[in-house]
Amino acid sequence: MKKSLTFNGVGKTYGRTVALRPTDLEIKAGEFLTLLGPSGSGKTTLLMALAGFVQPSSGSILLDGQDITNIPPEARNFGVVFQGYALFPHLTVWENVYFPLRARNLGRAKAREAVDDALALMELKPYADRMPAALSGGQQQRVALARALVFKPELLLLDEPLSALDKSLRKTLQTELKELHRKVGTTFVYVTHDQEEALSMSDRIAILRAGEIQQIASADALYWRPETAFVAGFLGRSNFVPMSGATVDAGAVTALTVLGPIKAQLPRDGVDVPRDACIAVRPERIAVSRQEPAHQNRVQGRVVSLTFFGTHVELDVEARGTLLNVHVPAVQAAQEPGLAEGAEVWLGWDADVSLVLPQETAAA
Amino acid sequence: MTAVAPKTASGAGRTDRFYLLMIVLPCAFLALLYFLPVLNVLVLSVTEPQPGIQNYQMLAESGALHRILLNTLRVSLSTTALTLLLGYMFSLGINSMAPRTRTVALFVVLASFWISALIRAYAWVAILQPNGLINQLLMGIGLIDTPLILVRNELGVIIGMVHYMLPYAILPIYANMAGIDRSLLRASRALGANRWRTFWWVFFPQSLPGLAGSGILVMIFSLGFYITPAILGGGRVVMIAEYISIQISETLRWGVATMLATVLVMVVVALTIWMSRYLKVGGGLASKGGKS
Repeated sequence: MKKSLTFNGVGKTYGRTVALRPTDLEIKAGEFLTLLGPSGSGKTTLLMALAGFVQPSSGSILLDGQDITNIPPEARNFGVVFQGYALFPHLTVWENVYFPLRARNLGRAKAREAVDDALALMELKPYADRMPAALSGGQQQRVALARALVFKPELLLLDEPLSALDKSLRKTLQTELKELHRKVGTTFVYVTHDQEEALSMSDRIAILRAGEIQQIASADALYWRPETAFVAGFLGRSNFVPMSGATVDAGAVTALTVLGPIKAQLPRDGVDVPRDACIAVRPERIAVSRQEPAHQNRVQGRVVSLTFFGTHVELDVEARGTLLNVHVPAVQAAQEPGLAEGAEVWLGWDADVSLVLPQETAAA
Repeated sequence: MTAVAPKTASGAGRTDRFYLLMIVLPCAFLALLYFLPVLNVLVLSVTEPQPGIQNYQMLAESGALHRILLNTLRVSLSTTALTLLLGYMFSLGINSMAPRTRTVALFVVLASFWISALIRAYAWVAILQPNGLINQLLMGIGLIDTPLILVRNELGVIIGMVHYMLPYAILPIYANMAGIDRSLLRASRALGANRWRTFWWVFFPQSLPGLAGSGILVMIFSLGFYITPAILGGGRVVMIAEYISIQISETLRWGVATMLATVLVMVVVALTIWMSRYLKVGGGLASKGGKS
């Protein structure tokens, strides 16, 4: 059942508009891959090309080495869960789940076991005879999943399946989806614009922007080792400090910035300092203290605002005309006397948490 | 707060009364000029020429009446079936058009409302008659030797009626189709149903309410058609409305005429109730009477 998928230079243009630049992508058998990006980034185009609804303008899609680029959607044997679920309103829950088996010419009697199993898997048995309109959003979502999985597809495609639900339900279903992925073992390709969803469920995340995959890696690798300013800003928060130049000495970078020279690192070995670069530092990696710290990078500043968030305290510190966002664990902030708006403080961080990243337009 | 509340309440009451008035006036107008005459018709049907139900007995006994009723039913059913078929095809077409071309197509549909039934009927006679446009064309290209009889028969009547009814069928069918969620069609394909099955399993069932609504509308209109069958039938295809007219203005048998009118109204009302019960598409279509 598990098959790997390969995109070879798959691109899509509509007239002059480029929806997806020629993209290479390898989807491993059995993985949970999330396509994450803002709207218009090409993530849905990528998914629809995979499902067969968008005919690529270039390139080919291979399923276990077999070219499926020109195979119509109904012959691909992929399960799809659509945004808004797309349940058939004139059919009962049972008939909705039976639909893909009916399309595969299985009689009701023969399909009964598979349909009942799928309903049981999603805990939908009591609702088999209801119409979709009589179900809650979460239940409808589970029907859509049961329907997409009942024929044991080689791949399950999910197009923002949780976007219509309220936040607490979304959290529960994230856990359920992850659990489901473990249980059925099918490859999941999941599209979302919600970074939290992406971080909490995926084996790997592909971050898209303007029709292009910026970086594809596991959640923590993306978070701690982003390779572009966009990724650093889109996934979590980052402070970006523009660079005017840099000296490199055996992999150690010293960047010239408005904050003075900053010791920094390149995101991985073997890359050069980009022409248009900035320094990215996560807010939680900056230490705040009243005395001068021992960190490799130190700047003095003034607390402009201080907001309490329970687990942490968020500070905006102005240092040499630049605002830096800093997160301090609340426990630690409580032990720091005099940490208040207007206070003069020291900020400190080390070279290994300040990354030199190419900057197109750094989204904050 | 307490000082303001009663004021707003009375203000709302005044607005309510104003809107109520706006409903009451047209209702009174309808009652006076529509329902009273209909009631009068009903009364006449059991009092003319003398009190009793002898007019209704004719319904069971008269062979001529049976023929008229059968004609009406057959022509109406054929018209409805043909109109729905053509209207559905047309709606499918405009539903898949780009918005701009669709606007043009819908405009063409609506444009046919501008021409009266009378003019259209005569235009059809001109087109369909033995030396009319169609026969000349067919004979010109050598497809036929003798003219086809296309008018002054049931075929002509049905052609004219279908033409008249098409916009009435297209608009509700199209409105319904436009409301069908297109992502459902994608879902169907993704789940393994090809285009054909997607149409029959997903699209068609959901377009049924529009089809049913149009069906009632066209059937009700067709039962009461007068001008079109009178002209295109050339006296040979007499439907109930024309027969009523003859009884009123020529043979002066008002009892029979009002009895038939009453039966027609009853059938239409029954049809409306029955269909709207089963298909939940009453609403705006339920109260239309038949004419033209």
